Amino acid sequence: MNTLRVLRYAFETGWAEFRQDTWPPGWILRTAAQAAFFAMLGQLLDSPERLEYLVIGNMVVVGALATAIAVPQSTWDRFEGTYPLVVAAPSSILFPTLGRTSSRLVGAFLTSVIAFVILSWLFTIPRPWPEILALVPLLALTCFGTYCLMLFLGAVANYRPNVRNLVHNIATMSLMAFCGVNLPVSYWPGWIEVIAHGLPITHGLLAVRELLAGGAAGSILENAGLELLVAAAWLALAALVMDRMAESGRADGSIEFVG
Amino acid sequence: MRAIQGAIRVQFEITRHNVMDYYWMLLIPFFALIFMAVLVQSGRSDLLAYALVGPLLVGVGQMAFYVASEVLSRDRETQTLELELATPAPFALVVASRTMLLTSAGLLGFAESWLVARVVFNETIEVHHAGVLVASLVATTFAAAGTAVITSALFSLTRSARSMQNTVTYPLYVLAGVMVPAAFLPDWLEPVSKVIFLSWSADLLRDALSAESVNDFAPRLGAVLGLGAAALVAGSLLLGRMVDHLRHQGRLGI
Repeated sequence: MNTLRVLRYAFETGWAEFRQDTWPPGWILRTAAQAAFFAMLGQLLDSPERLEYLVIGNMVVVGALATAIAVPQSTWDRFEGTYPLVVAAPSSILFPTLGRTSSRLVGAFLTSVIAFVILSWLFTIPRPWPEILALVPLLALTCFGTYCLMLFLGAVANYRPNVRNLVHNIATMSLMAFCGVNLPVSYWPGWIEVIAHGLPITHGLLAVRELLAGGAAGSILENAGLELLVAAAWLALAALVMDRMAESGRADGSIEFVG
Repeated sequence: MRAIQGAIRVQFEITRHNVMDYYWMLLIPFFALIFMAVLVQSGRSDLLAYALVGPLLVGVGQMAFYVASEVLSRDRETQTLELELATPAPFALVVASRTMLLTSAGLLGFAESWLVARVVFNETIEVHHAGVLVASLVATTFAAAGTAVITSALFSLTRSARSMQNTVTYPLYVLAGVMVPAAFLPDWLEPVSKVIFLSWSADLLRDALSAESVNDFAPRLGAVLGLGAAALVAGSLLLGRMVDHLRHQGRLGI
């Protein structure tokens, strides 16, 4: 019960920050433009197949990557001087961090949906009915998987809060490059392919591509399951690192320092 | 001249110690990698010059909108704005010199993207018109710095202007045809593209890397310089208004 209350209060804090930072018309414009920026490469190549591949990849990823704000957000307590209070509270640091950052998950999911609506209309991407309804949980799952990775990176960034933006931007660019967003994972050398299968987006995006291409339900579910598994692994890692970070900060007295 | 030197030196020292000032330049190779990989995988290595120009201009744009635009709001946070205004050096000149240094750092994107093509894809992107390239890069940096003077004045006045920072960058890159030429956009968007200096810069830079001769070089370069000069004048006027407003309210250092 107490955990639920911690989650709720932290979510309310994060939600207030989200509302303050977000101007909906600008957010929609940016979302569509960011996805179109990469997708338009298909027009340059004058290839309808490449265009469709790029549009689907970018409209999914633009939402998932909106969760990357969880990385700097996980360090904000350090800058605000409230980190020692959060660590000193009887609750594990995982729950306030989860509650505060999860507000961005809502925004990320909405971003994916909006990007899909705008880009599928602009670039005439197939929208098979009623199969398209399954896109909703798949987009949510892909956003969740990416969010779990960002939680882990946010926990790591607490060791060097000043590089928080560098961490989340390198992570987002790597996901865009290697997880099948703009070109198939198989294009890259074998070792990158292996790493890509352990990252979010790879399997969730494959499931979305299969769904829109009218693929078999079994294969879609398999990829969705793999995305969920990857998400769970990153969430578990995030929880472990977060507690260790708090403990080491308490042990060496660095908990109040930023640098 | 001493004011310019001093301003550049101060900004260099600030930036040197702050990774947040130059981290965009660490991301440019990723843009180049993605664009070049898509083109190479599609058998269109002949378009690699596009994948050099795109990341380069994204680098200049990000340095202008995310770093140079922050100089004054950071001065207010560190309470150095009052000291800056108390010096006899012309304030607009100091700000323009500082934004110029930061936006010129975006030019590193050229070397980074060229190296990605060479090292990762074993492709050499040739510069066919070196003079056009150098002049276009200088003009682009100047125009980006002029634009950043406007945004730095706006961002220092109100936090809500920051949402503009996140909103305008990608629409600008799409409209300007930074990666994919604006000719691929619907016709009715063409007039919008023409008032963005990046669209002229992108076309000039692509031409500099193309074996074909460059047509109408002088007026096109003039368009970049003209838009940059207009931004600089507007930015200087805005800076004056911003300082007057903050002085009047007694909030310069708050």
